[in-house]
Amino acid sequence: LEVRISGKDVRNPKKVTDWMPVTFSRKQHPTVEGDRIRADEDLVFGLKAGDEGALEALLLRAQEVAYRFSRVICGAGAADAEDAMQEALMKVYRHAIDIREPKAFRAWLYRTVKNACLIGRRKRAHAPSRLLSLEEMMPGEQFVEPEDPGRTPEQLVLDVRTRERLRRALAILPPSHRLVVFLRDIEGLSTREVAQVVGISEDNVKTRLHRARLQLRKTLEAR
Amino acid sequence: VKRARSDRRHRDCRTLLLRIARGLEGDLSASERRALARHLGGCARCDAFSEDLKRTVALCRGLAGSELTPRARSRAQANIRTLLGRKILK
Repeated sequence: LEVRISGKDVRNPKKVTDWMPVTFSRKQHPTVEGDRIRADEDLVFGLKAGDEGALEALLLRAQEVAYRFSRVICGAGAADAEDAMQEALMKVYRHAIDIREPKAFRAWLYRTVKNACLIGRRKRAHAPSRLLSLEEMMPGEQFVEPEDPGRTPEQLVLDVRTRERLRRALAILPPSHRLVVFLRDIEGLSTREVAQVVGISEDNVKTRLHRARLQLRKTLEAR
Repeated sequence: VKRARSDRRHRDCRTLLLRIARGLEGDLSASERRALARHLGGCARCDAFSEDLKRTVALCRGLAGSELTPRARSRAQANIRTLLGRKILK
């Protein structure tokens, strides 16, 4: 894992082996994503079998997603985000019976929550957003946190200050780019699932994702 | 002179920004990946940039598990109890 993350051989740090991508794909993080996929499959099977516990788990999960969606995408305060939770809860509850395919479950859940949150949204709380040019995205100052190669992404716990900076950086992104980075990087959906939720091609998802990540990195530079 | 040389060198780096970002998603061909690794091996600035970009993605990932406050969680559970209670009453 270390070799894949840094692109360098940990036994011989000076030797560059190859530059490897780091994404949160199911293959690279089997314990996190694999568990989540299996949990989702169990949930769908439980729902089909009429299991009340599975229904409760689905409704809790839908509200968690709605809360995060409201906070990050709509820029809602805690009270508005709690209202969005209730709207998502009702919508998911009404349509839970339609769930058939475990593979389509995650895209369905996020699409349903997205629609519930956007319909319930009454105002835009975010500051005006814009996409930076490549010129503006060039590295300048020091990044938000000092290097700490001992920590893996799973161990990376966000302190309050970093979380707030990240939220502000997300708020500056154009809504279409913010949605993609939310679904892919924060919620861990695959590119295909993001495309299904947003209703655009996978190529467009990638284009938006790359620009959004570059802009986030730039915004997180220390000032 | 040093600054002019450095600026000339990093003009090419600008075109690499999107390539580094594409590489994070595994969208580069084997030859593109090798060329990028060669460049990063000799350019500390781009290498640091690449690491920063990976950390940006990791920071986003950290946001997923930290956003539901205890108050919101308790409200979510109360919503479910109310909803399912209503269903049972029917």
